[in-house]
Amino acid sequence: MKYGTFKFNGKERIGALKDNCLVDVQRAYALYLKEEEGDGQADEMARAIISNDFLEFLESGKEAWEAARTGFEYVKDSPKDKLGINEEFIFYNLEDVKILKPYQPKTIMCAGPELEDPENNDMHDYIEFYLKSSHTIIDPGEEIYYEGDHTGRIDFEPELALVIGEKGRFLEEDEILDHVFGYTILTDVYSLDKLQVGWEGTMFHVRYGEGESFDNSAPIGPWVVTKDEIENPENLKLKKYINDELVVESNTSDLLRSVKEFASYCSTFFTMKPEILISTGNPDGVVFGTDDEGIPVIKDMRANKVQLKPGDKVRCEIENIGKIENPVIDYREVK
Amino acid sequence: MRLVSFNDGKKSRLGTVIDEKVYDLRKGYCEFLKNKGNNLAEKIAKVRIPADTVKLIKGGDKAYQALKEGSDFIEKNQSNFNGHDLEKVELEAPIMPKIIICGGANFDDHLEETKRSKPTEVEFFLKAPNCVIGPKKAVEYESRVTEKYDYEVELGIVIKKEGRFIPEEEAFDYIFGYTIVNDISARSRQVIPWGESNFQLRFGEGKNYDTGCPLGPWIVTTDELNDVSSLDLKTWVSGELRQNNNTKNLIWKVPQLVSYYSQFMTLQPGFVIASGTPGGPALGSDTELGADPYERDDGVKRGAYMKSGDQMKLHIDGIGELENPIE
Repeated sequence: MKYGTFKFNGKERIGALKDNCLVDVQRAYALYLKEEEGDGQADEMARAIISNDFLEFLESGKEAWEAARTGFEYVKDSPKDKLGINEEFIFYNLEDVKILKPYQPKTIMCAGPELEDPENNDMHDYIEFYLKSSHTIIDPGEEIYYEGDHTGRIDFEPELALVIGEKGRFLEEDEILDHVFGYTILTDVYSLDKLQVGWEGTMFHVRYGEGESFDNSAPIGPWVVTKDEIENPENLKLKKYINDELVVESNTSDLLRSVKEFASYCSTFFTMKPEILISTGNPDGVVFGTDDEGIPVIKDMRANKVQLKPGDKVRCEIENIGKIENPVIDYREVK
Repeated sequence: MRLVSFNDGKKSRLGTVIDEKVYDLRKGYCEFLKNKGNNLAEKIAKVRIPADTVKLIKGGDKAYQALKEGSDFIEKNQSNFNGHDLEKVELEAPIMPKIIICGGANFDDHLEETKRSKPTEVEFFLKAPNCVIGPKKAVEYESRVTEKYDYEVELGIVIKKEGRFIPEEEAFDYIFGYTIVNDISARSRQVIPWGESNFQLRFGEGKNYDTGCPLGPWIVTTDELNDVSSLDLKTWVSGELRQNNNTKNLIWKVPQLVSYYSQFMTLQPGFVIASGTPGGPALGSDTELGADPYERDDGVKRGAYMKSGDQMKLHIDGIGELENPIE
């Protein structure tokens, strides 16, 4: 199933995609309970089991997820004008609603840059993780900010993000997918100029704070695709478009630290749970390497270097997951 | 006012501490309204004083006024209210911040002991909200994360209202209050040897894991703690003094921190800025990780990393003490 959060008449609901419609899974389940099970408390039960808030829905566990699937399967082949038990809509045309970010996780764990020369880089045999503040998350279609000299050159990468369903810590690679609910797309917007190495005498760090956590730098969505639809998350095409032109195509199979390996690594630190979103990186982003004198630097070795400017439209596509599009605007003109 | 979050046996509630007793603020405000003959007192009090501090702060001036009225009413009519004994009541973290912005490299003695030079800007890294635990709760000692668990006392700045590009001279208008943050650090994950004499700092792994951020015991609002320019900060580990400095020695002061971070992100009600720790953490004695443990003349003992069973006590003048065991 492809879940999304949408807004209609000022109210947010969870929908599941069917052709060009979203099925309100809570209302579908209420109808199922009434018609199929003769439940006299169908409305109240459906509301109790399926929240209209997707994070709560994730936290509600298998009972809620199975109810949503049952409701969806029950109505999905009905005529689109089918109404619910209170004569409310069940089907919503995509063009009649506003698609929002699928949910608001509280923490985003992101894979750091790939390494310039992994074979000859024995001190850095793994990819680090960094945090992106969850308040930087925006909806599909919402504006990414270009801020002139302030953030400097901005760029973005499509990343496969894991939506966690079930709790767990110290998870092995072969059990991590048991804890995944599904997948979404994170457009990782960053500043090429700020995401640099900062030195303090003998110690250095990559400046993820400055380079990665600025307003509106994390569009996510539009769908959370349940894991049963994705045969192998470690073999999905990632496509980056600017103004409808393909800039680069890569594949999750090329990640130095594989999807499962990175997620397993993340679970060393935090108990995996729905409030955590894991973004697995992109094999074609900037890399962590060294300059001619052996000094650590963030390097841009990409063949196709494109600089975003106001008016651009960015799009990330991931095979079988979908696509997310966001315009770039000049922040100084809106604030 | 000292704003706490406490569990009354059933639910989380916001409270105020008066004479070492914790009082339910919603109840105080409700009684204040009833006393004025308001028939909707309970309903209004429930809205104005939510159970969640971020929601309360978002309520702005009106919620804050209700908080004050409730607290003042309790203070004047203390005998009519049922106070919970501060020592016995279960305190929770006074806020579950949306994000914790951390400033590192902000005290000279900490830079010196780790042989770092002063950077051009204060460090900027994040600690996730799901690290936060309340007073007295145990920090987990988990050898699969690290065997080098360290403590860091820091002044926590609680943000009151939304703002971007905040000028230093307006910074205090954006502050709701102050608390104590213990920026627990996993040093073997944070400080990674690079080449012969350099180290990479990793603030993701080094700073983020379950229970890695004790916070509290309360938020002291700015009406009670206004001047934070000279507050002693201290840490004891199982009775031994390990950190001892003063906010007057912050390289980047509170208004500069608020202003700097607001250049990158819109600060929002409920963000917490941890302003950096002074010298004295065990890292400062860890020559394996590049430290130069010079002798101190202020009573601070150089010590090893914590072991399971240690007790941390952090003190900041004007706020109080945050105590947590590690086990």
